[in-house]
Amino acid sequence: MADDLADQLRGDVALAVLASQDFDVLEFGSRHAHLAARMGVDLSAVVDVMGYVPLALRGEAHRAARLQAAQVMGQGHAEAMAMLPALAQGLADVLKTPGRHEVMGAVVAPMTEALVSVLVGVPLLSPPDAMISRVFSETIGIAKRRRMNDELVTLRARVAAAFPDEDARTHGARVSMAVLGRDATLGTIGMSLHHWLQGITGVIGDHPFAQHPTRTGVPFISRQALRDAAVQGCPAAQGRVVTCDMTSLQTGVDQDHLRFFGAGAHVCLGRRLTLALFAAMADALAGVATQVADVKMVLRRDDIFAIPDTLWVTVQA
Amino acid sequence: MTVDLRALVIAALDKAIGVMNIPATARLLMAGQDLAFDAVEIDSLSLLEIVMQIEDALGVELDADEVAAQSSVDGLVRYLGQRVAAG
Repeated sequence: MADDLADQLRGDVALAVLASQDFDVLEFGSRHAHLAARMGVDLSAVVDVMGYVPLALRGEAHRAARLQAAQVMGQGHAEAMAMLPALAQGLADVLKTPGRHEVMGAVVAPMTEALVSVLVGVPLLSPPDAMISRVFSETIGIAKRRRMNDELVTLRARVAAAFPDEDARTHGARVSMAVLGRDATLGTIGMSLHHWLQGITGVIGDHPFAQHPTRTGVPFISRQALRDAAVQGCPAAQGRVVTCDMTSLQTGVDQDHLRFFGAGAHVCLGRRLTLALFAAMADALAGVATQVADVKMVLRRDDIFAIPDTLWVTVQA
Repeated sequence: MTVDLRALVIAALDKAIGVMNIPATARLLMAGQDLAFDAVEIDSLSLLEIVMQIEDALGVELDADEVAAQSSVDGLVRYLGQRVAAG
């Protein structure tokens, strides 16, 4: 008899679980509701938005939320695509300038903020330590959860004011763009930039930036078995939670990197836009004639996303 | 204002998991001795309850894994002292 499915899955097995209809996402919304009730704190905006985040929903609720999110994303897609060359050029301009630069704060965060704002339909106006995407965290304390709730209340109100003719579901779908998009994009750009910068010796433009992420900002994805199942012959009992290690796809092989976006019903909605952004970055960075003297990254404390808190780059002529 | 961090931690533990209702742990704590966290059962929700009590009392933001990384009452008191001192 085959061994039970491992708790942590890598490569093809991880992708097989993500693609499988026998597994689905964890129900984050009920976790927040339970926590709010137990602690007596108001997390109503968090619980509410989780009803619109496809990555937190199963079955018909997921299908409906995903469709709505895709429609909202579609409305902003052309504008977002049109912004990409200028956003990418902003990064190239920083790396063309000799000196010491904190690239996350100077470029990556504003770039992400601008793109996600277009998809949401209003400026996010995120503080640097925004909590809006931390809805998946199990480790943040209650003070940060209260702050997350406040940020979601404010964003939801601004969305409702900007789109008074839309219904509550569409407002929720717009806010879900921020929840889903902000930290995942920040992390994927930041980690991929760090990986690329670390490998540069000599002139920056001589080292092509990949047209896709080479590192992921979403290192681990959890799934729960909906029924007794088997993956590549290894059984998993109903209710079993497993973790897909997406960093196992950081192999240096392009085809593996394209699998960062997942598989199956919950495959990343932002795949097309992310690839277009990376292609624009590759174009802009190809002409940079300066050199990298030093790269230093400090990761953010985060149990869900891999995000550089700071990414310092020293550029010389 | 000086906060008695040990009293705060014990109160938070008592509210979340009732450490003062357990004779053995209550005796230790009332005698000013340390209490290892692995001697008591703290589930994830209780841990967050402890975090909330401390956050509200000190006006700081804490993550549950920061608190869980401390092995005992005295360790947590020392950690909180450092956090408070760092502002």
